[in-house]
Amino acid sequence: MKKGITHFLCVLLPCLLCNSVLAERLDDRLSPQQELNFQLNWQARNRFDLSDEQLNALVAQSNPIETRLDTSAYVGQNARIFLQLPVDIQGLKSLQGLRMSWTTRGRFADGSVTPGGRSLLFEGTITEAVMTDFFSYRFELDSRSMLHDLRFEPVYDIEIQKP
Amino acid sequence: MNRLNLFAGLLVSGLTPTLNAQVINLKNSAVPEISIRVGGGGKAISTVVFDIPATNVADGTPIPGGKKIRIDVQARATPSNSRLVSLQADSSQPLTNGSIVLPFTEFYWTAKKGDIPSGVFNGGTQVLLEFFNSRRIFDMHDYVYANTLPVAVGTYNGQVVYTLTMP
Repeated sequence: MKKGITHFLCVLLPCLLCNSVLAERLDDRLSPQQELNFQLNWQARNRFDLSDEQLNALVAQSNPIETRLDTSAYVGQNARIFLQLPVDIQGLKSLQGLRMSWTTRGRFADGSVTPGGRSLLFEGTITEAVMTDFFSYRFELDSRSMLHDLRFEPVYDIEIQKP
Repeated sequence: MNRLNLFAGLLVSGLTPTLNAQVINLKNSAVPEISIRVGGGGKAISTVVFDIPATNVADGTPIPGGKKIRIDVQARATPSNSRLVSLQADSSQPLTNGSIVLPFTEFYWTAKKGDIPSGVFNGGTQVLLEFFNSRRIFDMHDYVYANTLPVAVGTYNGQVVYTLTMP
């Protein structure tokens, strides 16, 4: 029995070490706006040459929204920061039905992501305790994938890169 | 054994942090919509002309119309498949030539694709197609005059009205 436990710990310890190095979630509670509300509307109007995909396409766009990430614990370290969407999104029937894209003012990278995926925002040395940028979002949703209004949290992950 | 429990606890807590604050809400503001286009669209009414040779009047020889008419319908709303859309044709007003009438029951059509099926006018309001929302359906209808009723020679005019509804 003792031997069995020892073997288990030997396997578990390296895994825990790997996880702590690979990805940690960043705190975005410093962002001034917490609840971000967007209105979805039909993308195409008054047209008869639409495919079913175009007919059912909903879109929402935002003004620039300030996002602040607490990177104080990582100053001086080389890191990559990702924006990730959860797999499980309230109100969404199909993962392929939603795409979120954004442009920024340059501190972070522009990108796009679908549920369960992630996009690289930053790669390099962390020099600030709080990293800030303004995200202009665009949401594209297939209305056939919509059960009701959608609600979800974007996740900001950081990966520390060993020298 | 206690050490094992400790590591297991760390593993669980490390995977479930609750740091995030921003929440995105996508609210549906899209108004349910239906659209229908019969023929060329716009305000003009598309016309199909049937020329019946004098030697063939009422002999049962089918007389094809001069052109096909495209019927295009679409309906969108959320959630999908939640509303039953109905395409109807009203042929209750017969064709007329002065005081002489010719019922639309003498006319039928064949569909090119069958998505809006072939049929015959019933002289009233009839359902041509029902489908659930979030779809676009179109077809080409080729109209035919059955030519079975003896009618006076002359020009007969009439109009069928197509209507699309969604609750």
